Amino acid sequence: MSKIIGIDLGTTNSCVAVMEGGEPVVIANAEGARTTPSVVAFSKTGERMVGQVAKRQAITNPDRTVISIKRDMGSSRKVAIDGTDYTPEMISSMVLQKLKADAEAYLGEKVTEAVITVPAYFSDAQRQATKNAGTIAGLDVKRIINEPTAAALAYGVDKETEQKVMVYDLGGGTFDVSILDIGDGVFEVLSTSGNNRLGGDDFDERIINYLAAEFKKENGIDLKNDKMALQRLKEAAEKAKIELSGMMSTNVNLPFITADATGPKHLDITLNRAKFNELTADLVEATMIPVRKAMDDAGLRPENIDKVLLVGGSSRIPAVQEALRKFIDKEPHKGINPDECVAVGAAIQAGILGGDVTGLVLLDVTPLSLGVETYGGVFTKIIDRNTTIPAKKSQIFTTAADNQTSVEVHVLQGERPMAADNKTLGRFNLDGIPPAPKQVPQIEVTFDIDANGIVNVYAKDKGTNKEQHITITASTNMSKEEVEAAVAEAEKYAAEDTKRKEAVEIRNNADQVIYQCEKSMNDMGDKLSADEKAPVQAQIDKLKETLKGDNTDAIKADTEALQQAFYKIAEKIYAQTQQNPGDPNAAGVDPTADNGGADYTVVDDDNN
Amino acid sequence: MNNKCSNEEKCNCECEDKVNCECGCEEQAEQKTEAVGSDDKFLRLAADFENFKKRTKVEKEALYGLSVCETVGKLLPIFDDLERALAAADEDSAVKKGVEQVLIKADSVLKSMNIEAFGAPGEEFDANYHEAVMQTASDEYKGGQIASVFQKGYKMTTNDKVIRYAKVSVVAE
Repeated sequence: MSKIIGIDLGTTNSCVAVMEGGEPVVIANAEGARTTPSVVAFSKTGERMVGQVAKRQAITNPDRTVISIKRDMGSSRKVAIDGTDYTPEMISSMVLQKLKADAEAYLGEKVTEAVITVPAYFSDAQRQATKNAGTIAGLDVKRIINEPTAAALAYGVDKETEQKVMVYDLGGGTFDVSILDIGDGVFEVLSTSGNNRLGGDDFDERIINYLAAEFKKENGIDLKNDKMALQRLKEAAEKAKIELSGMMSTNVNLPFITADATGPKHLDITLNRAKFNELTADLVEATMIPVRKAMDDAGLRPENIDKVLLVGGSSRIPAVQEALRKFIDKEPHKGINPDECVAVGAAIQAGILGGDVTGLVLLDVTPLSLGVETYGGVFTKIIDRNTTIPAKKSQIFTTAADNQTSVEVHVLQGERPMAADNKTLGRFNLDGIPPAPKQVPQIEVTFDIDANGIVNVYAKDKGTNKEQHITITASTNMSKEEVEAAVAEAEKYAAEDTKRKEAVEIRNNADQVIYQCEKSMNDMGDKLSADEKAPVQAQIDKLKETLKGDNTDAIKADTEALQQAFYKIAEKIYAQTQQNPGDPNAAGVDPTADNGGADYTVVDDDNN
Repeated sequence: MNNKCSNEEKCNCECEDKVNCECGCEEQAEQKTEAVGSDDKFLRLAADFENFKKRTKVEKEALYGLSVCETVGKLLPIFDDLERALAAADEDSAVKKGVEQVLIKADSVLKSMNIEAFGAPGEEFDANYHEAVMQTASDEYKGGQIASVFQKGYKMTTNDKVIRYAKVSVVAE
């Protein structure tokens, strides 16, 4: 089943995405980047370069490097390179070819169809040129959609009630604003405006100038005359701009930026957001002019706009968002990566056309963990919370007492380690377990949750294949608040609960050790003298007494003491085993093994 | 609702008058379509999952190498500055010697990670490794060669992966 890809064919950068498992995924290119520069170049020997590599050599090869060809789409202007005339469609097709190849590498299969976006103001000729570029690249262009529409799809606005949406797209080198009327799946473009020579680079420029000016004040040197210094300033300026989108101030630290007769000079300037806003206020205002124009053309007032969607890397700048917030009196939407949301929207459209159902497998999750009560009142989880359902998981348990012929399966839901603190969903018994020493029977408990959240719990005695089960409905019927409260409670009591659980485990272990020691001594019978048995028996009795109380530390200490006493006769027991390998009662008894006790215990983890 | 069977031949009810019977064959047909639709959804999802598994496996394997490259990339400006410090230090000073030692250590750490620097004046410009930040005239070097290095490049020697492209000025043709 081949996929239709969604492509944002931008002026400066392009991006490609595809639907996968009901979600849009941005495809990284062969170099590992999620966007690809829309740059095409030819080397002296006619070798073709597209993307980052073409951009890297642009300055050395201006006559054979083509940038921003999108500005010429739909026109008859041709680019002449080494005697060959290239139409804008041909150049664009080269970019599309690279995106196609990257998508094929990612998907592991051929790609022959695509949805490509264009600016809302593109004419028929420009749209047709874009479609042609796709065809030349070997792509059947299923649809051309408007960039602001794609952004709206990415934000899921089409699924809401009818509304008027402004899409504010401040990208690499161009600014576009569109006003859309969206309702019933219909996207109507009410107006567009913009400034196609305004972008992030202009903001960088302001910082460069500021840093150079400050440095000159202090050191009397103009860094802009020093090419090396200027290069470092450019990089630092872009980095500072990006940092100031997330922090209130940033330190531009460039040691050894230059030197004069008095020695090396360093640049160490702190730039705060307020200063940056001051330096770029006119640029921000320059974007508001087309915003107001678009509003006027659409005949709307700020209060008529229901939402503002942010597109393009520079829309991350706080001053820009603040200006919009002031104008519309609402918080602009910025949840989706602004560099990628147009491609994401194109992918969503591609998915719809290709029959991929979006938000497809409304997969539910089980909101809280499910499990059973085990020996000592411990809650043993079988299915963790937030497990996507349908889900099925099994675990093997066993009996806690000799000759135990039935086990009670107490099904619980919650996050606390002790069963009593969680919610009981149901209980049932599995009877008819053949009498056997404890920890011998194998009871497989299976939790099976279907897509509707109905839980079936089965308990099967693997020895007899006898099975019992209950069905629990509405295990996923919890409100978000209830779930959060349960999780919060578990966190609140985590320390205490851990202690309690540990206490239970220490108890269980003590029981276990007593059992093993008694069994071993009984099995040995006369082979052990009364003198040998006495110390061990004394410790056993002491521990049994201590277990009547609640002193966990004492229980632990006495268990240790018993084990120590037992080691003394252990040697003899093992020696006996060597001599009588066929004696089943002497087989591998290790009193120090921690089997966690049981009303039934966990013996095995059997993942289905 | 009109329950008339739309396809007399396929209708499997027992009515004599298949056109006017109300056996709800259409309903059955609807259910069948739904089932086929679900089947299709399932197959698509299954296929997506298979592909996802395959790809995730490859990505996982590559992840360590990528993290290393990214981390080292962030530390490279520090090495750059140390080199500048070395160039600016007074001859024969103890500080200069110290910085030299620091750089030797840095080099050795990078070498142990199979990372090496590249980019020197006189080399042919190659966009696969270098980024041209300006063009210049030169008496010393020919057109198309690197005139000066603004920032050294670094790459993995094991697979030639570039961690940082060298920023250079290139001699104009």
